[in-house]
Amino acid sequence: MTSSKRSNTKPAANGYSVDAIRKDFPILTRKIHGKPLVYFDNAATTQRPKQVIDALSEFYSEHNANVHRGLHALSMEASDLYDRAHEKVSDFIGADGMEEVVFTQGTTDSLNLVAYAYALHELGPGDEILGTVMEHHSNFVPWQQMAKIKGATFKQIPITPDGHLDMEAAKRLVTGRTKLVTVTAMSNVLGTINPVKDIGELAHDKGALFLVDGAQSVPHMAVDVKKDDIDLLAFSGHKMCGPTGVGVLYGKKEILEAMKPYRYGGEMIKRVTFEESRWNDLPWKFEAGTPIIGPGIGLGAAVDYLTKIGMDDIRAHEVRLIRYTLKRLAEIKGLKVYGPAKAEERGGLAAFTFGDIHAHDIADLMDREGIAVRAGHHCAQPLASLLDVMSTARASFYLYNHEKEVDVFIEALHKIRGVFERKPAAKVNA
Amino acid sequence: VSTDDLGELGADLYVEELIDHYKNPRNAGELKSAEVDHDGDNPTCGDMVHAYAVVKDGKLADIKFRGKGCAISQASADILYEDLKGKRLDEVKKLNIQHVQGLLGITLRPARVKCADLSLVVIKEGIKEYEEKGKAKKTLPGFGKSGA
Repeated sequence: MTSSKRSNTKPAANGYSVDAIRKDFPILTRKIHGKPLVYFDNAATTQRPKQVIDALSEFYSEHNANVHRGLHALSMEASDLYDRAHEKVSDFIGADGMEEVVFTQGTTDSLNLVAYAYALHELGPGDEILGTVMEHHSNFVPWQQMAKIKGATFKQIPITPDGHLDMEAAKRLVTGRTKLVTVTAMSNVLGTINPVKDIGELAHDKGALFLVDGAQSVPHMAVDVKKDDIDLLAFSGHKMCGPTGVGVLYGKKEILEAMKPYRYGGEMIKRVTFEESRWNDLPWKFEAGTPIIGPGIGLGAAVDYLTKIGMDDIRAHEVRLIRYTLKRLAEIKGLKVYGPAKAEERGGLAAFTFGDIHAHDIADLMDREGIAVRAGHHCAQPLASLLDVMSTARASFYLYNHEKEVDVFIEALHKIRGVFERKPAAKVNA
Repeated sequence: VSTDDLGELGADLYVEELIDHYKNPRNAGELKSAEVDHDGDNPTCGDMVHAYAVVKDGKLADIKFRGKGCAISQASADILYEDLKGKRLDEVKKLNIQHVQGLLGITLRPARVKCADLSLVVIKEGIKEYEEKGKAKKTLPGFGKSGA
């Protein structure tokens, strides 16, 4: 592989060692079609380190029981582990303890929780919900539909040609009628890192609730809900080295207290009579039924793991990777990358089109080289229609990706171009 | 806390004094026109405590309770409320589970802490409710505004 000479394989000055981190992820030694796996689909889901896999195995092997109403030893151990996982997540995002951390099924579930526990009860005709045009469907469809149900209006902040939110338009769009402002902290297509604190200020100045979709930001950069004055923050465990099936809704205590329950049943109640029910304390009021015990404990282990590596170091690593990737992609004729040009203004992902080669053909051919990339509208069809491109290919990175892998990816792009430049052999006429 | 050796069954928890308070509560009853009138539940054991307290000069002049539930929750309520009589409200608001544990003189396993804590939680919530009566509620962003 000649192009590997381009890579800087030295560990970074801060001691961040990709090679050491890779040893924690068993799946990264896999071969795909006989070639080393290059896993560039991290915006969809990340891989899990053995520390998380072991935590799950240890829980099910040694501590498994149902939580919170058990007086036996295993139930107490399981309850303690489950509660502590909430505390770990609270520390990770700068929240005020586990009362502010609800475990959900994932970002989509967290956002639907806000739709059904807040919007369904608080919105009415004439009210406005303000989102952005770059939202994932999970932070778009609930508001579009809730607006229909409640006779409210759903508006979106537009973007500038370089893929940033149009903040001048945002200032005009937040009005006295706006009840909820919601924004993704990091676009899963453009990679844009949005000015969450500024948008939160616009919302609060007009007395609107401020909800952030952190599915792409929380796994990749340090997040502080208090510093950014975020009212509600949704994110997923499986995009940050945790298990699938668990996510988080952070909420300021007073706001979660003012919200109605989302689902009703066991665990979420304090007292039930034939006529009335009284809700349990936070966060259990929003965790009806047997909660997400095993995956929740796994998420706690993932948070431990990321904290040990250091979120600022992970972010710095991804900035180095995307900067290098953007530079290499710029060398390829006919390839167009979407989103901000500066590495510092974006997350570690690049969605692109490559001449008239369809994204699905790119992804298929990449797979034959052992490279996992995603192709399609990335669950952001409204944005795709604005960009006038229904399908892009996307490479997205995480803490264990290496510049050498970017080289493999670039080389594959050259090979793919070659495939589409093939011409039928000239027929030999006798 | 090691749960491997609990010694004679229940000797660590179900001490005679506690059983006596459970069977013969000294502070059972209701107080008419009590300033503090509040109840709460612990869903683990299904415990319930309803506290009544007369407030005079910023102090809990008298305090009684009605309750149902496990021995730990009901004995704790009786012992705690005896202790709280005459205490200043701001003093009571600062108390935590360690205070109850100190009064009981026993070590509680995690699952039973909530039982012992219930009566303290209830009286503290009741005091908060009493103090916030008539005060304007803080407006939350996105809540309560009617559509234009």
